[in-house]
Amino acid sequence: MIDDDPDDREFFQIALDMTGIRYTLKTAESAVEALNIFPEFLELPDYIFLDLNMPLISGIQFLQIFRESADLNKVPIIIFSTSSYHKDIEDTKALGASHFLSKTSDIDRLSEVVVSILKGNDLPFILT
Amino acid sequence: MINSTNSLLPQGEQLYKKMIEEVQDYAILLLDLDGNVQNWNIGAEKIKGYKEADILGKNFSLFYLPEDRASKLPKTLINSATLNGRATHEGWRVRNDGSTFWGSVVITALHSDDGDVIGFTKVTRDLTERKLAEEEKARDTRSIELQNRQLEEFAYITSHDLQEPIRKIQTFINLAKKNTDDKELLNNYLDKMSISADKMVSLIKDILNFSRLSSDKNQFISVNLVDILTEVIGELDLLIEEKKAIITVSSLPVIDAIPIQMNQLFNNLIHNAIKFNNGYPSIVIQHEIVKNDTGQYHLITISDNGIGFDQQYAEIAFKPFKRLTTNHSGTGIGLALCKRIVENHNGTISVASVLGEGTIFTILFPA
Repeated sequence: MIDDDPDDREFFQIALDMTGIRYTLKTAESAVEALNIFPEFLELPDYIFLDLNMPLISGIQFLQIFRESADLNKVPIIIFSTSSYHKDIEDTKALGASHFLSKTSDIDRLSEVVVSILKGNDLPFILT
Repeated sequence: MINSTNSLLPQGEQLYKKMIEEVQDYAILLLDLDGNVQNWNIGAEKIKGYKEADILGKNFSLFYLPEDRASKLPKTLINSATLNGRATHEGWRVRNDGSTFWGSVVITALHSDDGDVIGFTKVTRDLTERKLAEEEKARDTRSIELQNRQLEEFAYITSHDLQEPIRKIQTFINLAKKNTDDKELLNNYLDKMSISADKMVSLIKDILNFSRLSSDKNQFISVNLVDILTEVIGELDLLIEEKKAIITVSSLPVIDAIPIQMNQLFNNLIHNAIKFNNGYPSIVIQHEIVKNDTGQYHLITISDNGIGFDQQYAEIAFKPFKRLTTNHSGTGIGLALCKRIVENHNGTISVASVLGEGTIFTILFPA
């Protein structure tokens, strides 16, 4: 998970815990940190949850960089953002994101959606 | 019998001469081959402000701006009329009292029966009002475009930044409801709600400051930037003492500006220079006058020995609510505010930075 906001990282972890699914979560506080730690991974992550509004390299820029790497390109990226701005949704879709998950205040709902994503259910692009 | 020339003219010709003399809205002149004024009418007197006696025999280049005379515009127009039969031009012209008007000019060559050019007629209209209206319209258009951009920016900020603290407060409320028995956790969530609420308050304040920045011409006065800087250093007194910062100022100019905005500009830049420094901040402010093709400028640089940043992020540094770090407090409005203030004053601001070495902000104001 790539998100500069510690509260959002905490919310996400609580939601993951609630799913009952066994998981390994690596977090990065910025896209820069994420790009730095990827080479250390023994295997690629199954999913990446990516915030958009971050200092230095934004989520959109991370997506652009990411698409250029053939290996990384296979990993589904789920945008995890406060934004519901139409242009962000269009841009991330065009850049090959798998889903656009709006950050919600409802942790139970977040947990349900994460379960459906991890189970590989057929889901629409915009998730709330 | 002594008679004036006029009465010798056939009646039709005399009427014709009167007609030209008494036209008020057009300056209608006869020029000789060199462009010397041969006759004058009421319109010419009204538009250009000369009495007939003061101007007859003088060269029409007198009506042109010094720079247009230097670039030989009057001669060029005469040459063009000789060659093409007529020449037209619009531009600022000078009246007898030194004031200017926007003239629309047609110069037509007069030919002898043999086809030789023997002189020129010059018809000038004062279109100052139209010109000013056009300029105002262009300014309005630019202002509307700018406002549209700002609205778009505002929509983005509302959809991103303003929602975030509210969503967090709602989430902490939901989490608190799930954990009503755990007092310690509840307290933790309450603290976090309070932090998010404070964040919301400072965001709203910043957005209001940002959107209220005026560029009203009436607020511009002559401002000595040395006084502004003295004020700012006084305001940042505690911070300067705490971080043992040293601020060195060479000289600063007096410019036409909105004083409060100059204060905000220097306050933000110096505050940043002190804040983003892990050692003892040393800030150097310099000024010089520079010239380029577009004119003369005050070049002001503010350099520091702070933490700096990678130059590739220079552009996003000036965007509202974009921060280059999560480790320092702040909403990310500071540099966006600086940029808008400088643009309000028809200037530009840019930044050069080296990570770990320091940052230089460069501001250009028209001199």
